[in-house]
Amino acid sequence: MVHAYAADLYRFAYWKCRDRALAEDLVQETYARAWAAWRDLRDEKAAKQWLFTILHREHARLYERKQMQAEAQVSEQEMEHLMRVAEAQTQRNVELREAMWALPAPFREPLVLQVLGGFACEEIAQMLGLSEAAVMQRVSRARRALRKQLEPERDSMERRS
Amino acid sequence: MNCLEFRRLKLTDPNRLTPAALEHAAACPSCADFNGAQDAFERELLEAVNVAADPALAARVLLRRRLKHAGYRRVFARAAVVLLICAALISAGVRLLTPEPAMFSALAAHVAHEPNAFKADEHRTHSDLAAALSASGARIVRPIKGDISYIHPCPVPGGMGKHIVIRIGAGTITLLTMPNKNVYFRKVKTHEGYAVAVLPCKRGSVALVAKSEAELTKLEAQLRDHVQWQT
Repeated sequence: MVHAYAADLYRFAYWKCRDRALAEDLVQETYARAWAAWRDLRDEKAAKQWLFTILHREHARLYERKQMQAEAQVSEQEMEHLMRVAEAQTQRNVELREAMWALPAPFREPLVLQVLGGFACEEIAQMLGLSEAAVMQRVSRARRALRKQLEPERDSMERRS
Repeated sequence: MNCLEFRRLKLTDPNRLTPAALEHAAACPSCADFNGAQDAFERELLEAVNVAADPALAARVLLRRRLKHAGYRRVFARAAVVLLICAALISAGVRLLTPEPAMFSALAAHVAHEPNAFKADEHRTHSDLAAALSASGARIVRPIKGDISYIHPCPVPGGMGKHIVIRIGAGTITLLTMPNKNVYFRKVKTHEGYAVAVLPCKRGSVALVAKSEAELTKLEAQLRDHVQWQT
């Protein structure tokens, strides 16, 4: 369970808080809570969704305030890391990430869950405590917003066609 | 399905298109183009979302769990050791602080082998009795209504003590003072037809011996009204 999902949980946590140390703390806390409540997991096939839900709740419980501070002030260490990562990646990738961060969290989170975790809208709705319709609307709008920002010409062309 | 529905579906969940949507994409060149472009965008999106995770993260998660468990095990092990030590100390303490069984047989044998003490009729005074008990720190608080028929020094457990016989009411009780033998709890045992009670005194202890446990209890209660063993 740890080897299978730790990395994806970390990525989801990172996209929530944009802080690597906090993201790892969240993963550690998620597993600690999961082990403590292991008996509550009725279907082991649902472990992935269960773990992502725990992480989402843990984040809400522990780090929402910190996240607001983190977003307002990205640390020097984080900036250095971003620079190193940016050097190793394509310009397109960097732009896409920045566009992702520019999305409001209520739109970014369901999109990350879908792209990263491969969850269906119904599952994401259960995890985030939203209606399925709301999730469908958010992921759709998030994709449109990203494409509009990154591919404005293509987006307008497709809208016209 | 029309183009608008297809595009809405594709943007909502690109990897879960319905058979009707796939059929539409196959038939509509514009939507097929949109489908391909969106798939390419999804690949880029996945690459962007897939931030690098430390390969050692899983190992650290597991390590923390092992350390936590090891911590619990250490706590339980320490608690078990403390409990064992406490149990051993209590057991040793109880053994040290209560008179050992051999003492009762020695005291009963002492009384049985000195029948002359019962037959003696020395009519000793309360002052003699007070002096005999003083070595043990016991004190007469009220004169005993009985006949103090025998007081002599004798070898007792722990050294020398006094062998005293008192006739009270219908019974006879033998007192063996043991100023050098400490006990901390009263204990009664019957041996060789004698009931022996050993009780703590201010200094050392005293043994009360009677013919039966019932008689011993009765006479001991009477004596308690007159003698303070621990002042």
